[in-house]
Amino acid sequence: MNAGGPAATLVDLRGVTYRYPEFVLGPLDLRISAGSRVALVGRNGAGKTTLLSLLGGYRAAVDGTAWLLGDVRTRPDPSLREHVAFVPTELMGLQWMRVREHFDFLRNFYARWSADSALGLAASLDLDLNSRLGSLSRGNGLKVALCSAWGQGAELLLLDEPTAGLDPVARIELLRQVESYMNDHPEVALVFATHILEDLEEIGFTDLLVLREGRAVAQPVQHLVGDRISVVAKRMLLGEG
Amino acid sequence: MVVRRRAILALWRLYLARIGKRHSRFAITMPGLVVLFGLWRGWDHPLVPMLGGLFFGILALSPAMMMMQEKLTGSLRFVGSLPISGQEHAASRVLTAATLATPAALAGAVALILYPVVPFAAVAPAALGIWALLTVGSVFGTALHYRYLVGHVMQIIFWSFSAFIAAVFAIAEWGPSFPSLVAALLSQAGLIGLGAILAAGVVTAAWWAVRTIVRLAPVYMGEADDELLDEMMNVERKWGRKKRRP
Repeated sequence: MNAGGPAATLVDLRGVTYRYPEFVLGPLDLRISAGSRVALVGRNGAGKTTLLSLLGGYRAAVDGTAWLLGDVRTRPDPSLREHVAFVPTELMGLQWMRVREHFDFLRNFYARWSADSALGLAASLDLDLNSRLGSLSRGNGLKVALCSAWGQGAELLLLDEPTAGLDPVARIELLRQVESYMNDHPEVALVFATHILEDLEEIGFTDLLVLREGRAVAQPVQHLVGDRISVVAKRMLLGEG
Repeated sequence: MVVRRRAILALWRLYLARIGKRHSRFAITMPGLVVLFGLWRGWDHPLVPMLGGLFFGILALSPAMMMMQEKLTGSLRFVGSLPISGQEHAASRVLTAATLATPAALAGAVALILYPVVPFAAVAPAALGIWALLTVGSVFGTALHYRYLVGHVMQIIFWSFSAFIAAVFAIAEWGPSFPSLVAALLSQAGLIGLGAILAAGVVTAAWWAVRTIVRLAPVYMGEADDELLDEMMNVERKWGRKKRRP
């Protein structure tokens, strides 16, 4: 069913709720337009990954209306993943595959797959294409996941705590790659979940979304007069803002 | 979502490659043992077709047997994260199962010709029956893993196997006490009735298995299985066993 949302709107959640036996996410209202860069911050267990999996079509809202990429989604929808790239905290792939084979494999599933984008990023990140996925460090695994997301040519990028566990140099390198990709693809929207507040200063985010015990507080960044985004996020996390 | 042959074939190749990698030593060793045994004790020894049948049976059911490994290594979650529909998942699983059941059906046909326990005209239907049974068995086992947790699947397999063995023993033990019942079952009408019950069971199992895979494969996240699987991985690490590949 087409809800007829605005052309530039990729995500429009209204009163969306997802329930676990011991935790409820929502009700959430959230709108993400093409070109937005949303910083998603919250403590462990606040619901960041659940929200990302709702946006990626891995779960469906129990209550409310989830308008995602042109349709109201009432059930988990694999076809959405064609247009949404989800980079989870750990690389998903087959451990025995080499990096190059992994990219070749993914080509079979994404209509807009661009080997040039994936291999181009891999080259700039000094990724060894002959390494097996099972032998990669967390940082290199993350690089593979990012290359896969770039190759997919998605309209919405969901990054779930990509800098967790990375050394400072790898972290900065990764954030710069994300920033550079977003600058080169102004039509793509980004949702970047993190609980490292310093990450928020490295990418030009347009919106800040703080999750506290399943509830969201959104704040457009242009309204943060005179305050750094990380400072505002910290205040909101602590319930001081 | 359009059903894409390319995605189905890619998954099919993946499953076959994975089984090839995991069972390559077994696939070389087991037929070798059958040949050696045949040369040693003669090809008419009853253990030759039994060992051969065991090999082809294990090969045919290996997709279902690999499912725990797929859960353990996260590859089931990875495949579940791809932008493919439940129908495409199910088609690739059925294609894999049918492919790996084919050697068993061919071997069954050869064995029935070499050891003529049924009339020659029944060889082709019997081979087809073996192929269908093993294909459905493999897809059914795969679906069990999608539907239930690892521990629950193990329980189901254990109790089903126990019930089967108990039934065989019960028939062997008490069958001769009811000669009229045995005669009725072995009559033409009895065999047709048994065949119809078996066929209905196979069709029901196939329907349930395909429907389960269609519904659950694209949303498999493995969260509920994680705790037990982590524990199993820790046990493997503790005892210093080589980490297995998917």
